Amino acid sequence: MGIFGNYRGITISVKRMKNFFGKWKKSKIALSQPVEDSIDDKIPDGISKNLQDNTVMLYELFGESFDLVIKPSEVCGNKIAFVALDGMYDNLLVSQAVIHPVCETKTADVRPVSVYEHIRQLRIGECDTKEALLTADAVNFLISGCLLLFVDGVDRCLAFSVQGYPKKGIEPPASEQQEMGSHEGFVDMYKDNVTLVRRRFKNPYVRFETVTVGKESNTTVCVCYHAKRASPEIVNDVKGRLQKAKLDIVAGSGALIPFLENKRMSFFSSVGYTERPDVFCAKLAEGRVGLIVDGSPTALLMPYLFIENFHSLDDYLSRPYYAVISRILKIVCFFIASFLPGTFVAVGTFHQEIFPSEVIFEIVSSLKNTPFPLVVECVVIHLIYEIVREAGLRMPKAVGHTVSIVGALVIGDAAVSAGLISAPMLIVIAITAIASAVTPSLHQPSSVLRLIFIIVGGIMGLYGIMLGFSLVIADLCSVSSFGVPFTAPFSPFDFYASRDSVFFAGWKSVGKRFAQIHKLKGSDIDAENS
Amino acid sequence: MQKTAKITSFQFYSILFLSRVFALVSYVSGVRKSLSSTDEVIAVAVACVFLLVASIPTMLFIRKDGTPSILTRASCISPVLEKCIAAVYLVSIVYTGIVTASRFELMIGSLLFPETGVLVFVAAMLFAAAYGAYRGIESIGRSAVIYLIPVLGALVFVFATLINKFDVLNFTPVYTSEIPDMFDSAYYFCARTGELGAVLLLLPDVKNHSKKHMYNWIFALSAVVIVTELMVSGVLGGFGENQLFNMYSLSVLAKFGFVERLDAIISCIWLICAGVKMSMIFYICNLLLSSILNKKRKLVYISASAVAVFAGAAVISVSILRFSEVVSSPLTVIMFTFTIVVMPLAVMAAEKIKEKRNEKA
Repeated sequence: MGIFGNYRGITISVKRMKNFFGKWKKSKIALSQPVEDSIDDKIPDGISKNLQDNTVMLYELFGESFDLVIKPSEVCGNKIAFVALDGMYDNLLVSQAVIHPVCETKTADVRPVSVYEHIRQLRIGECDTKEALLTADAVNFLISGCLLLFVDGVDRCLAFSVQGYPKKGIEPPASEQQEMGSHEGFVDMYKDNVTLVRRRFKNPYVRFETVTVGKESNTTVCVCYHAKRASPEIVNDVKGRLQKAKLDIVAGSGALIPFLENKRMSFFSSVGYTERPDVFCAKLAEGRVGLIVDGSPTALLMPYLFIENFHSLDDYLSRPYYAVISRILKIVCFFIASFLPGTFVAVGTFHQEIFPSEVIFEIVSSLKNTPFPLVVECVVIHLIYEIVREAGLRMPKAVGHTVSIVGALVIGDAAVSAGLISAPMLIVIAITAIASAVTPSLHQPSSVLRLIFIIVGGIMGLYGIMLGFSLVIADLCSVSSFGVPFTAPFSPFDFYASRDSVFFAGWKSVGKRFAQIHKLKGSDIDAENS
Repeated sequence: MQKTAKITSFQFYSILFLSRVFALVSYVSGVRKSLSSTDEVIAVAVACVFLLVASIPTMLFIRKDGTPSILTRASCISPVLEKCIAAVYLVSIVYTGIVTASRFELMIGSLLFPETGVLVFVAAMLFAAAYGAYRGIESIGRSAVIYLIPVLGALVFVFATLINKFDVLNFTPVYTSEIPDMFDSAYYFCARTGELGAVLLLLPDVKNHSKKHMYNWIFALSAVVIVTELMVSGVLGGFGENQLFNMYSLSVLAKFGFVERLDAIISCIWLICAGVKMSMIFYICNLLLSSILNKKRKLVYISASAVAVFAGAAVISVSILRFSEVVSSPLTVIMFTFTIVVMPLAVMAAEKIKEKRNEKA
């Protein structure tokens, strides 16, 4: 039993293992047996004329699920049944717009088919009505929150769109707070998110197409793009990759990212994300493709460039000179977050001459007075910081503050006073911690890189740091996001696009010519690993 | 969208530029016949002229309509010729790789970590370079453009902070050295620009390549080399003749405000160039081995090249004397002459002969 309930037929492909062992035999290991596969065999393709058969079929399919509600009734002497899933429909709408008019139906011809046709043609004004001929369609309507109406003697059923489940209201995005932008963020319901986008982007060329992903969850994923600006190749590529995504459950939009990225491993993700509809619209206008996943307030964007990690909406709404400073600051913070502790360890261990002569004595004497080697000290403090951070994130807010205070004051101050760690090291880690919060989208790679660079710096000094840096750059430079170089517009250099990169030339200049993402320089050259 | 090439011309020449910068900063003075400081500058200027002349066969080789590589053109004449040429280039490129790795080891071992064995550093650098090569030429090209800024920045920083220490009195009277020695030194210096061979091999990977870009690269390179040599002679003077790595000595003298020792940072930035150069070498090795063996096994070929280079470097860099013997041997000059001058001319001549034969037939 996994965290998502009964997982069915989860398999591990051993295709990768064969590369190591030279066994080119394709095989799969089943971790669990499929649960109640026989149910699928029992479900007939078509809907039965017999009402009882249909209800029995539904009971068999849903088992002992308490939320399956089947209410029998009678219309013009014919047995009927309303079927719905409790909690998925709007009670008022069901009683007033469906049950009342249906039960009040009176026809001269009381044959089941005539009664069914009469109900079908009733103008049920407040909800959409559809007809299901196949059992699978009827079940799909049911699990989508529709109310089904079966009439005894008719081999079809009606589905009334009466969905009305509880949902969260529109709130400011938690992870992308802005000073000057809108205070509306995406919510869990994809249709609400589409409305948020439509409200901002009143253009018929903005398309919203749905794809179903997740073998078991049947999650709706909405593919959004501007038909005149997005590259059709990229749109088709995105759809193709979604269709190939082998997932049982789409737990959130993040679950789709591995299927949208290039196949190889990389520290950096070539798929962007946002919780802001305004940012989403702006990206669509640049020819990007967006994905809104039902049940997730985070929308995905692709192609995505590395430099976009340092952009925020406020940059575009502020004075250009301030936007430039803000972006440079964010880039510096990323470098501090990734490289400062490692560099400090390297310099403190191997290249102490780099410290200015005025402070070298204080720093070096402070470092020498601690019992552990600098690299061990740094790794331990870094791990403590990560523990405090994780605890702060997962704990309830009130307790989270306590954890922070205990971490910062009690552990930090006491450890320095006890001579276990040096004050300069604590300052370095504190600066690193603050800097890492400036670019939240790069937190994952920078926190891992930080740890690696601490160890490398402690073993190989500045040279090791530079070597590691070159590996990171090689990794960064080899990423292509749907054919667009991840390092664009710097390498290859694109003058027009560079007006909105580290520098922001202001709307008067940028607005003259809209940069389309797939037309950036370098997108027309063959990317070997894309 | 039609996708043909892999990197832009600017990226390609950035790789070649950084590759040559490493040869410049890791130049070991005193390995060959020592010239006086002024004559050294003159020899470098002459070397730039030699480079321009040596590039003529490559210039002639480049066609206007999207030049195929020398291997492709050789294969049109004869598959055997293609394999022979690939083998010659492979030997040359592996030799260049071994010398580069040895220089790197010498630099790390004698300057940064004099008390520890540094073969592990060489192994780490070769691993990083092999990783870059495995990621493809576009990864190397994009990285090179990014590295160009700090590498040039470090050069400019050193020159700018040392400009007040530049003294004309450090220059000796001209022609105190023997003229043949100057020419010998100039040709040797020119022969260290083996990157021209990469132009012949990697042409199809480069988008919108033209002769103009190549000229620009040669002139930019010549300017950097001459300015560097002027600074070395003007700042270090006779002191430079006793130093193993003149550029490192310059970086030690560079000071900025309250920061007095930045040599470790500057030399680390320059050492990145070694990684770029080795990545290019491994990428070319993969290309040549694929051509010779008619099989595409990127990971195997790159790993094999890295192991060969590591083994070679481990043998050569055991002592400075052995390194001097290898580096000062005529092998560098012979390789350069063969791969840059003889090979393209031979292929073009063979093409002409084949054309004439076809016409007669």
